[in-house]
Amino acid sequence: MGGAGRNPIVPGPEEETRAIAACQRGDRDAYGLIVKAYAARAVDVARSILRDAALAEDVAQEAFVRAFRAIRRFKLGEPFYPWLYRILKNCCLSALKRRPAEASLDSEDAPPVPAAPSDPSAPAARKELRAAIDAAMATLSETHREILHLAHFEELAYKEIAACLRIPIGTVMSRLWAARQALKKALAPVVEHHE
Amino acid sequence: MSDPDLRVLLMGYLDGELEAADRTRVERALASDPDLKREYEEMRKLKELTAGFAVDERSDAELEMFWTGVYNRMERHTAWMLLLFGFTGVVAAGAYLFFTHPWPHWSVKLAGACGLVGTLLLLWSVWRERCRVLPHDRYHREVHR
Repeated sequence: MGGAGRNPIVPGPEEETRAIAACQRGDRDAYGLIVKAYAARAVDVARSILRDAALAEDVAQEAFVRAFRAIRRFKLGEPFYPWLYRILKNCCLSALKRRPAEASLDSEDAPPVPAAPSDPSAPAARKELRAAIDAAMATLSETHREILHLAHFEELAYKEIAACLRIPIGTVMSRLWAARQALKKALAPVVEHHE
Repeated sequence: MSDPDLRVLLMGYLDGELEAADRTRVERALASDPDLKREYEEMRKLKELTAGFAVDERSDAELEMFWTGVYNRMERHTAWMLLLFGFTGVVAAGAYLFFTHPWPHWSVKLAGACGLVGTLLLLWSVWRERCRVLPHDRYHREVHR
């Protein structure tokens, strides 16, 4: 686990630490490397919270700007992503507060889960399956969606999830259990089709 | 399944996150409890179903465009701060000259003073609102933590 979707421009923790140290000295080019390394993940997280692709891009950019303004307070040597994640999440929540009517997270508003694809290995079917999973995810609570996103799509280790959410590893496991139960229920027709 | 701890540990087992002692405990329970085994299989299938949908990589051009967007916002923020600083300085200097110079009639000075006080009141109102909002802003607390 760990690191899926992370662009390889910043290949390792040492290079990342060097780049962040340069950012703390005000080097914007170095920050460009960090932004490019985490952009895809940040937009994906924002999209999972906001469920609005255009707004997600906008909020993710704003989160990177805020992170740069606060980067001198970042403790070098600590993992960067959980720190960025928390800023990003707060930006998303602020964006939701600004437009509660359009971005309601009520599960009643979620689209119905599409039928299971006929051949899950075909590219078109993979797309259908992803749509079914997204629709099922949309019916879950924000807490469940968040932890499933981190565990399943970002493929983070429990330690990283715990750091992102500021919860103990035991809570990660119990929350993941509840979230998977909810997802299993929401995805029941698709899961049965694959059996 | 009777032991709620085992359900939770099952997640760690499924994701390969357990210490050896807990792993052994779950494996023993899986061997002896068909309900637990069934639940594990269901969770494993669910995990398999959602596997392979990790975050999409972006092309270099897309990343460059994203970075340009971030850079522009950072640059504009600096520009706004400089503009605000400069504007405040110019207004303060202008107000000082306006009120200390003997030329304008006192009625013009009074009108100018009204305009200045009105502007200051508006700025104070905006600032006070910001001060009320910021302490409740989760992001603000996060950065200072």
